[in-house]
Amino acid sequence: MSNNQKRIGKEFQECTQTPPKGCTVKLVDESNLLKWEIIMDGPEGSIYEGGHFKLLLTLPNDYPFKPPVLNFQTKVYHPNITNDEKGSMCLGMLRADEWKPPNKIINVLKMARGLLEAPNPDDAVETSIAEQYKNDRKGFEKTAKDWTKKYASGK
Amino acid sequence: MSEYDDDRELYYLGNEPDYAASVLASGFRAAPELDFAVGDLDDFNFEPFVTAAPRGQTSRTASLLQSSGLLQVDEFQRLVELKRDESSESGTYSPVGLRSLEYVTTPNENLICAICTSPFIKPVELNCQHIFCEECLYDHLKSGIQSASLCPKCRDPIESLCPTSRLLTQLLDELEVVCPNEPCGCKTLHKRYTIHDHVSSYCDFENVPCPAADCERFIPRRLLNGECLHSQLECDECEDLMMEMELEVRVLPTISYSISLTRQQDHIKNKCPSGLLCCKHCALNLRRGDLAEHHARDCEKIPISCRGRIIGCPITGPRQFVNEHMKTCPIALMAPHIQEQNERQSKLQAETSQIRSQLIDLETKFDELEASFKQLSTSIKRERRQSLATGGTVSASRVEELTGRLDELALDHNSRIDNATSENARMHMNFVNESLRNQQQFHTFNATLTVMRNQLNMLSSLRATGNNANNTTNAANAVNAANSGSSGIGLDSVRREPPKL
Repeated sequence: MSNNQKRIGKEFQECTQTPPKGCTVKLVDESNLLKWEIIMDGPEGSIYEGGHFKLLLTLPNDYPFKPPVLNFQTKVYHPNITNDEKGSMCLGMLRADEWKPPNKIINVLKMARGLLEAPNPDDAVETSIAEQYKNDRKGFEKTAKDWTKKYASGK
Repeated sequence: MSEYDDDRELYYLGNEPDYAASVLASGFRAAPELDFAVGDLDDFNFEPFVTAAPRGQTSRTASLLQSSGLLQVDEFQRLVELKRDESSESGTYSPVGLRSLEYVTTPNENLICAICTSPFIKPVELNCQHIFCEECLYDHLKSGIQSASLCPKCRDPIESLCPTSRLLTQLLDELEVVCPNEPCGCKTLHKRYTIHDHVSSYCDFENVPCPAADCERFIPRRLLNGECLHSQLECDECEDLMMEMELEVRVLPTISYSISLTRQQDHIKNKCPSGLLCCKHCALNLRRGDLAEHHARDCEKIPISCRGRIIGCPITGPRQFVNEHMKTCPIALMAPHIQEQNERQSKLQAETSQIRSQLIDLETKFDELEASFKQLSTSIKRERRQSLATGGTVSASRVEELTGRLDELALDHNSRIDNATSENARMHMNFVNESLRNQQQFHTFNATLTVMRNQLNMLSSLRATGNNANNTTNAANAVNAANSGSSGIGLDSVRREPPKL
């Protein structure tokens, strides 16, 4: 399926030339279009403000028919991001049964940043964090800020 | 929606009255009618290869489709595969891949396929009226994902496929593209539907099969003249092997259709390292390959500058003259040393700047450390203060209490010492008084004793000298009268002594 190379190239160009707000995109390895490294700044005014989060976007070989996978390589305290070394982000549009080929990576990035701005505890992967988000918002915000400072403040 | 459908119906009925009828009448079109040969890429008004669902007849088509299920999609897949096989078999030489074309301007968004994000190539329309490239849709159907049988956009089940309207294909045809041989030098722009003709028939930069029957190589079209240009030629002068074709390209980068002996002459004149050249300074004949060295070292006439130029010697001229000059020029003599110094200096400067940047790095790190240290020390102080504040209230009151006790004890102790001292003084006084009294008594006794001793002496002397009993009795009476104590002794002695008298 070599047809997707051109599309991926175009999308990469789009993401580097007019990147979504607060994102910088580059390839992990110049010779491999399927692995992207994204530095996402925490949205202003959110609890993640000031953080620089490193994300890995992996495109499957049969992209765009199958969804890309988004991993947070920087630890982040968030109900929709798994708290393990994978840091998988649970984004509705990225689920295999939700994904549509017309979706674009630039929109995935925008959605991901939107989720940082407003977590979605009803669709959580970390249930304990989601509980805390619902019941003890102050405690949640404090931990999230601490983690942002601790893990995501470096460049 | 109904209004929309009506409009479409009107449009088609008005413009292509026979379209719907003919498609309806034809029903399924069988594969043999399709022509998918690669050479027909410019056939953009491609014939419907699956039954068109004629607009305006949607309900009838739907019922037709329901009865046949997904057969048409399967048919489509079969056809696309057929097409692939054909193209791979016949495809030794396929000039244009439409997918790799570069568009001159960004096409309208409505002409873009959502799957490949490029302008549609052979668009097909689904029953939900979404349009995709034929090949993209094929990839989607073959992708094996759960929703492969649904429209990639709206997820309606795919029931039928039909060609898109002429309007869309015409809009796509009109798009302007860059010739795919642009990297080789063709700077022409073309409408997309003519690009195939251009490349396959006209483009001078397109590589086409060599006309020679026994040669399997390719050659740019502009060099075609009916003979094979792939034979190796040997330059008489430099013994370099090259193809005739390369000779042409190297010597004449601009387009040339004439191929003659001059190619070889050109090679010798312009490229061949063994070609003879005349040095323009000293008129010496030299091989091309030796010319550079001749200029750098030998040529007597070539203008050079004095070695001392770097520190200001203005002398320039032919090498012979400058060499003579340099023998006497003090600046030229100094120049090598100065140059060395300069080099060393620049090296040092580079090192210094490197060290400076390192220093800056270190300073920033140090600042960071200092800041964190300050932070730490303030936090430590704060903690210490906090711990003191909690434990101190108890101990302070305790200390006061203890100090009070201590003061009390000290007072008690002092008063006790005072008491003891005054007692001691009083006792001492008593003692002194007593001893004085005793002393007086002792003195009086002593005096009395002396008196008595005198009387005793006198009495004993009286007894020794006189024998008068009367006197003795008088004396004894006198003694008795004086002192009953001593008289006792005196009486004893008197009582014992009388028999002797």
